[in-house]
Amino acid sequence: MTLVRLRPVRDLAVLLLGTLTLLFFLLRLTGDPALVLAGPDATEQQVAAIRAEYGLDRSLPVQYLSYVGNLLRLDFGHSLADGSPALKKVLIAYPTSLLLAAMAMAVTLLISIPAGAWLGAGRHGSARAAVRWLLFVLQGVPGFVTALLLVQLFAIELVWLPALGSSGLSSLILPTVSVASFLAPKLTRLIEANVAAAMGSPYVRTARAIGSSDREILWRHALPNALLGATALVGTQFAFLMTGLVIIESIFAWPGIGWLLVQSTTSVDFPVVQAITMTVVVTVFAVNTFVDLLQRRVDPRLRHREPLAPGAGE
Amino acid sequence: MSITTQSARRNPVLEVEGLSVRAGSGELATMPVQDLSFTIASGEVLGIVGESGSGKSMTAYAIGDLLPEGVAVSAGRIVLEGRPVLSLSPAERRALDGNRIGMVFQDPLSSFNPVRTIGSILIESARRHQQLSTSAARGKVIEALAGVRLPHPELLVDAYPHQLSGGQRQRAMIALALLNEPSLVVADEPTTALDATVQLRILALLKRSAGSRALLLITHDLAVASTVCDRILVMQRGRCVEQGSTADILESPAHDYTRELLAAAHWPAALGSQPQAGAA
Amino acid sequence: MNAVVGLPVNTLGARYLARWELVSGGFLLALIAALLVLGPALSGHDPAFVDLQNRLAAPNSPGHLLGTDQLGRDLLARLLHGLRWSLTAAFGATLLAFAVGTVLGLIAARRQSFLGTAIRQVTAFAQSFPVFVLAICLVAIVGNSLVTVVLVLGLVTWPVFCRVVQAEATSLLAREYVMAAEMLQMGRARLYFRHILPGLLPSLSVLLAFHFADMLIAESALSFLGIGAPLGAATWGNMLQESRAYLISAPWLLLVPATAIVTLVITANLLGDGLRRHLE
Repeated sequence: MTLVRLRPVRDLAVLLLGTLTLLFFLLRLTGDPALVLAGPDATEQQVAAIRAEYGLDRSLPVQYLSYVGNLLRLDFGHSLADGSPALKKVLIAYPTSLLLAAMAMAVTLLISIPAGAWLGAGRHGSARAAVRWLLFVLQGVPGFVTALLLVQLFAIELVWLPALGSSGLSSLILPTVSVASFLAPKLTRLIEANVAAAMGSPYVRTARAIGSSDREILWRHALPNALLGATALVGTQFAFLMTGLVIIESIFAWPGIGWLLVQSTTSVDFPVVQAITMTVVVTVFAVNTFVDLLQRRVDPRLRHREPLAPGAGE
Repeated sequence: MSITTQSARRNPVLEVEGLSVRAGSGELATMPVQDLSFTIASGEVLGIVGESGSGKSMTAYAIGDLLPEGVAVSAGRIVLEGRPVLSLSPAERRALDGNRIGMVFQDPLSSFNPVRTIGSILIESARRHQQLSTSAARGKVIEALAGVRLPHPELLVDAYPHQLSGGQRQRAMIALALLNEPSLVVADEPTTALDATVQLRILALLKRSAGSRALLLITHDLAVASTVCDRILVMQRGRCVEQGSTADILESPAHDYTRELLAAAHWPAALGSQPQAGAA
Repeated sequence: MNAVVGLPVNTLGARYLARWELVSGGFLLALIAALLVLGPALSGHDPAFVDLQNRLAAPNSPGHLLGTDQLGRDLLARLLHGLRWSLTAAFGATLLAFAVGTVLGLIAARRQSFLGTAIRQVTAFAQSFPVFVLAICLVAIVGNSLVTVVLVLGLVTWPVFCRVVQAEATSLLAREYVMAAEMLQMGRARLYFRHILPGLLPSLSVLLAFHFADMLIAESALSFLGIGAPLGAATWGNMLQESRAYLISAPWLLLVPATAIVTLVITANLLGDGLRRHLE
């Protein structure tokens, strides 16, 4: 399931242009763009100033060009909430999200890979069946519900961990666990499927034919292939991760871009909204490209294309 | 039957008696193999011939300890070099796989792990069964690859399966089967997935490499069997229909099914007493 | 032992599981449908009726089967109103995504044209894109209402259907009987309706169930965040958000909508999983 191979620079350009155009039309959808950009509390002069700055009194094509031009110069305007430059606000919140994302991903992988390998290595057994049922139920519980239940249990009832904020290591635990519970069930099932497929493959049969034990087969033959196949999923997992971040950050008031997104959309702080959108789009593109490169480096089928000594020894 | 074959017969490598294999359990159970018996001596090539569903592959898997989940031997004995193998512990059995028995599979592309080098699995086998260090094993592997007439074996060791052609891969698979000098080689449709021009050469390689070993060749193609085998066993729906020397089977088949197979392969002897219009 | 060959052993077990899943999913679905039809009237209360005398009544209080919330509004009534909202939103969004995605997928499968290529590129990119983020932006900009939610969620998730339709339609179109039909100059509409769409039905029906579950979750997440549902409206997401201030004093405010969401999602998952197993 590899992505259509994108030629980086050209496709980044197309992507950016497409997103900017979309944003442009959204802005016009809401009525008077100048009012939206200036905010509800703006004075007549401020609105007029915005109008001039964005060329909103000119014709549509000119407006479009000046809008795109501004955004390409990384001028996203100023936040309606506190007047700070919109892009700067987003970039400040970025590392905070990155921390949570990295921790959550680490925890998820630490759980999903062993669990997926164990589930995939054997078809039967009541223990495995029980775990599969557990995962099925977990997948039916939306991430934010799990988070709320976790907060209820650990922060309210047991008062072991803080319910909000980002101060100190202990405040990282619940958000991390929440995001992980969001990602882990699906990833575990995916790894399980890959491992099971690998275990049933002809090359594993060859390994058995030379006397490899079950454990050797799992670790040496099945798991590498399964994990390699899983790198194709990094992109979708990342999308999942971002979605989880948005919701979980809002629950825990974790000051990352997810929380910022919700805040700025509910208050229609359009400059920040457009800054976040562009940042997200660029991030996703970077991740996709990274995954592509990773696959190229790691998968021998993609790394070595040339046949060896063609024809000889037939 | 020549004198050499007769004396070789006194040293059976593989003895199969009353082998039955059951798939599934309860009401849905089927018997892919029923009451099969045969012997292979050293230096002998036995071909098991039948159409798909005849149970020939299951026989090979039963011998090679490769039966899938839910499938098991339900009756009979398999004796390898005088040792009954069905009663061995899993560890003891694994010591035989790749060591006293070598397997050659049908599809060489998917039978090699696509993300590991050709050499890696050969080295793994040599290290396990000959207790060699990695570098010593590597040397042995290169020798083995040269032994199957692969060019530049020292390069091939580090090549990936997709970099080789079908014929080259099958040679490598044969090298893997022969690596630890097994007494029995089981080849399950070794040439079916290959081009016609390549098939003959691989068969020749197999025959030559068999040498003093016992070779069990599974095939649906009577022509293939006639080229390489000393004796042929015909299977239909899990049962042995007849077995005998290649010459006997081809020239004077005793059973109707055998005649059908021969006719399907356009074999003259199948005509027998049934004149067929336009037959060559 | 590895599973080299697909066996009947597991099929029986899988069929029982599929049947069990479909039956239990169907049962829950019937229950939900009944509640949907009966509506908030079942509780005898108006979901928006504020009764400050009766705030935070625990479940099983007189007149309030599930208790009341912080404004004295009957939880059962609000739950049932939320059921209607969630089901309408999820159903509408799924249908929209299905319609748009299928049409675009068929176009992309057929035309080796700029349009087809463009659709494929967009679909591939959308796979790794956090569309939920996009949905939040769109709904917030356009405004809070059920219609907005349906439109946005539907228009943002069509790639899910498009991807599947495009892949399957491509392989269906390549099959020989389609070529024969073309030779007979069957009308294109007839071709699609009688051959292609029925072939797509199995995977599409499974996808519909799972996508419905995803839309349920997405809608309640949106309204939880205060996006999409008007303030104070009786949606499950809103109820969850409002419950946060009363986690200690009135935990049922959290548990009632949470259980409802989980039940609905599990129902959809059961049906989807059962369908998939049944059709395999």
